Amino acid sequence: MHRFRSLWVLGMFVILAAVSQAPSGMLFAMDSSSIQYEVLSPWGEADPKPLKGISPRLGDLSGKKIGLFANYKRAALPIAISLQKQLRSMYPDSQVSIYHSDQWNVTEIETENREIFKKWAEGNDAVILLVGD
Amino acid sequence: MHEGMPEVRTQWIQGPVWAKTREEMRRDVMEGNNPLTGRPVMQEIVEKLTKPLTAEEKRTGEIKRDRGPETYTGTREELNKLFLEKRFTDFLPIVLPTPERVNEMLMGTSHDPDEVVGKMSPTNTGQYFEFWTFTVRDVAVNAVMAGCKPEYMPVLLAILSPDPRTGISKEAISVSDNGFTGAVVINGNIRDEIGLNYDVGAVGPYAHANTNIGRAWSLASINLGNCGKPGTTYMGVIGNPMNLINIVIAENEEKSPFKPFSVRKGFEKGENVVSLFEGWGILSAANWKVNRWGTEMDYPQIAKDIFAQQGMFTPTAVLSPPIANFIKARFDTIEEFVNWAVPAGPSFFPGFAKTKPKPDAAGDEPDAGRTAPKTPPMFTFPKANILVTGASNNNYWSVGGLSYSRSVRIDDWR
Repeated sequence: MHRFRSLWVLGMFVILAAVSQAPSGMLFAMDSSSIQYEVLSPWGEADPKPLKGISPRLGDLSGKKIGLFANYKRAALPIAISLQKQLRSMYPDSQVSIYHSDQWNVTEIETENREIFKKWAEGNDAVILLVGD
Repeated sequence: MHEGMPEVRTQWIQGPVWAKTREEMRRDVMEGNNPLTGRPVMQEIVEKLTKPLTAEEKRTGEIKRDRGPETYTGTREELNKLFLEKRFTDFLPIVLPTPERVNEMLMGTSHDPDEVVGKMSPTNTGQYFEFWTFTVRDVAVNAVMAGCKPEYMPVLLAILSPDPRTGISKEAISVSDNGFTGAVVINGNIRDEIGLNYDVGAVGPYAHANTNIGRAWSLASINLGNCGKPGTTYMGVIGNPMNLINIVIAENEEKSPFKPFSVRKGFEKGENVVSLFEGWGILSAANWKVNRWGTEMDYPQIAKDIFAQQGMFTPTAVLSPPIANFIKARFDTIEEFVNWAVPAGPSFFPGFAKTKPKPDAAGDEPDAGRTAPKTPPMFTFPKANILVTGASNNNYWSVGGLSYSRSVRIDDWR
């Protein structure tokens, strides 16, 4: 008799232990894998951007003024110099100039070179921006 | 995209370029093919300058990345899979940000959940990518995912607060192909209040606060700044394992013989301050050959020799208290030590000026521009950063390149 009472107590302990592990409100639905959760999106809000479109194209490069803007990245100026040679050999009657900006992470128009840059940019029919390592 | 020109005509060339000779540049790059299309580079350049615009290229109006739904619903397994697929995570398991958990996290700050904290992008300048704006609630969502406790919120919000000079928040994961890491130094009583570790293993993942605050900064960068997407918003050539939890340093102010870093930046001792850095990271100073082992180690001289080998980012030493005491024995203050150890000042990006090709008779000289190199506006450059943390069980210390940007009062975000 004493042995049966011990088994009864042990049985109740096992049942209580199982119930205490269940999620709240899930006393009789033990399959927690089917519980539906609502969670919040972790994403921030992307700022809207006005579309500017891109400038009209030239049609032909012959006789045109092409500007090569090399920014501060290591390879920008070497690319510009190489490209300048290629364009000059392909279009001998074109003018190909290079503008080199050494300044890191700033817009050239916001520097003390503003007027020089503006004059250079406005003097070109097209400008290619060169970046890279 | 950042400038409102998602259709801008871009010409890809075979890189990396900067170490090539002029002949290699001509032969392999300019007379070579676009690595993506396989077509001749010069032909494509000419076409891009001359081919008429398409209707899409002429389009005006506004572009905006869709944030998607405010909430997602599913089983735990479905949501974990969804977060992984949408790249909301760092590939480690996350805590699902249920409204209840987020509300509990928001108890860690008195700031309104809808208050805008800042804006972020994968570059610290905001160039090249559009900004993403985020609120206190958005930060709390990411803090929950990382496993943070509510009491970490003021620290995390301070880290993510915008730079008053630019209005831009600092991302932990930069787009740069260099593979940078973020780092923070935390000073003040909050170190003990939230259980930051500044003893054994101080800079590693050996305390809940250090680990989870660092991880939350990276998750916030992924989800609130669009960072860390390989191939688009992350280009680290090798990558950096420190991006997972960054470098979170609580200074061991009690064992340091020097003034805390924040005090040296003008704050009161005991004031809760987080200071932000970015750079390559740190590793043990023992790996440098100049770290000569012997019975009488000259640590100031070893530091000086190692500092002389650092470039690009500011030489940064993370000293254990015993090493700091060796330095204190010869120098009263950090400033005295640094002025002795780095007499010539910071060598900001020294390699870049040397990569410019020499002009030649063929007109290789740029026609305009060529201003003197200047310090990027996001960084200030002390000669060296000296930090003290960790235990006293041996004479070890770490060194690396980390540039300091600013310090933020944590209590402003309680």
